[in-house]
Amino acid sequence: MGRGLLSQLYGQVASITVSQLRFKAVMISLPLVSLLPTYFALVFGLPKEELGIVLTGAVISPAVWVGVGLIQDIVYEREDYRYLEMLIASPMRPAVYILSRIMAGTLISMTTSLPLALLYTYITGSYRVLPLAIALPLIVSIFLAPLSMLLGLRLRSIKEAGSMPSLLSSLIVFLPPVYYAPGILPEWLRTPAMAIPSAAAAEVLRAVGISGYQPILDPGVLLAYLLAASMVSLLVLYSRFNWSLE
Amino acid sequence: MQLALEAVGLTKVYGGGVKALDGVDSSVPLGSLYCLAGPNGAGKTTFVRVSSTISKPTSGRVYILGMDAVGEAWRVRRHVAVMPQEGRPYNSTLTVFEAVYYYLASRGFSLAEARSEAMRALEELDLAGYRDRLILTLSGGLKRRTLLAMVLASNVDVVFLDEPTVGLDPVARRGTWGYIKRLASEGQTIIFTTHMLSEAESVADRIMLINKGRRLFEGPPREALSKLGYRYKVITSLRLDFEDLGVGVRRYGDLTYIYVEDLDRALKVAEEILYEGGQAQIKPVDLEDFFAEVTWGG
Repeated sequence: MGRGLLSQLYGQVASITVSQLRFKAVMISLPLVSLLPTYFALVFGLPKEELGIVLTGAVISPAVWVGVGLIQDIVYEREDYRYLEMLIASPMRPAVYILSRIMAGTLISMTTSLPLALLYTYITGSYRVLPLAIALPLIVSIFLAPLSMLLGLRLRSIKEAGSMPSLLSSLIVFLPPVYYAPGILPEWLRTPAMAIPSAAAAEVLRAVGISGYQPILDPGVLLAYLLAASMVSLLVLYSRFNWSLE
Repeated sequence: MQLALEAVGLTKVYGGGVKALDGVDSSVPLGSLYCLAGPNGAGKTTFVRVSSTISKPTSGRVYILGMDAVGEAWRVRRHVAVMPQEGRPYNSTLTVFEAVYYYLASRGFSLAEARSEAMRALEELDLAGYRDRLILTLSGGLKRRTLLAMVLASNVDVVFLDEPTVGLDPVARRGTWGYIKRLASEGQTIIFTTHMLSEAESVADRIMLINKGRRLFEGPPREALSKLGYRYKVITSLRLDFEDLGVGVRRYGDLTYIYVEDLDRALKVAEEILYEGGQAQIKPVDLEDFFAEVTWGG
């Protein structure tokens, strides 16, 4: 990557990240909403293993909130602030635009998921899980960000986006087995539930971090699925992405 | 003459058959301060978008510095920058300096260059005192000037400014035009849009009057005025039959505009109005009169 491209990437990632880190509403609500189920787990005095299960959701969910939130960011950028026009009429490459949003989203979600990943490793006592606890939210980001961008670029107004991002995030985070083990679900639903990347990522984290945990599917298979799904998501974005206002 | 922009039969039809540009031809000399003027919905913004590679034409061609804006869009993009209409700096929790600095970095400036050019633009646009203020705490006019600083600091050959002075107070507007004029004198081509024809007349080297997607005139503002055939106008609310005075008459609501060749004639018309108990204002003709003349009758 040339020096110009590195500058472009730095300019975009830094501007989004610095701006978001100063945005108190995001920086307060992200850890709060991610930790909400954990709070209830503590209140109800769940055993350590159960707390670990709930915490996996807290580690993964920031990537979902930020990744799906991109829908709204893109609509604002394009329709409200008209910033996208300034970026199109510039030497910035679309790949930089896409990559910068994924990287910035990951950095922002890391501000919540990293401390929680450390907490998770401390509670489970399994320090080898830390690299995975960092990598899995990143993979979830890579899966969700391109799809969110595609959707965002197709919406014509903030009104059209409405509450879609928060509704989608809530569905992805709270409905499937992200904060709870899939064993709670009816048997026929357990494996299909793993198709949802946030659920698959949480299951991998549980399988590796909690001793004696019986995963629904082999964590290696789930990890391979997550990587493949992320690549497909990127490819879909690449094939559909139109760097103009048409 | 080397051209910064050349449009040939530029046409843009949006979904639903709305023709925003209808076979527009245009030539913008290098280093000129070129104005696209016309009423709201005339096609000015579409012209800017198509010329700056943001959107593609339905037919026709546009060349920037001799490069095809469609076929060679990536080459063109290195040489253009756009300030969009109603645009505001994104990421409003950045400071004014950061907004300009990061935008320049996003254009591929080295970080040292981005820093020095950002500071220079802030000083030129009288924004240095606000450099550490968060954008969200600024007034609308200051936000607009920050956006202007981002674009003008880009140091590109062709700058497109879509309604750049909307929301600026008169002092800020003068300062902004002073800076823009200097950039043009240093060789940058500035293409701006406005629906304020007085602004176009006082600032631009050349103008293109556009309405309903069609070019009505292109050339220096003075040339447009010379085509009018009148030099003065007398404005009155008195309703009289002025046609027998042998001069051009146009009625807009309650006001009547009487066009005359010279000041003596204007004074005579004004005298007559005063004699009939009315009030009269004498003014030199301007671009608004030209625009009204060429669009008269639809």
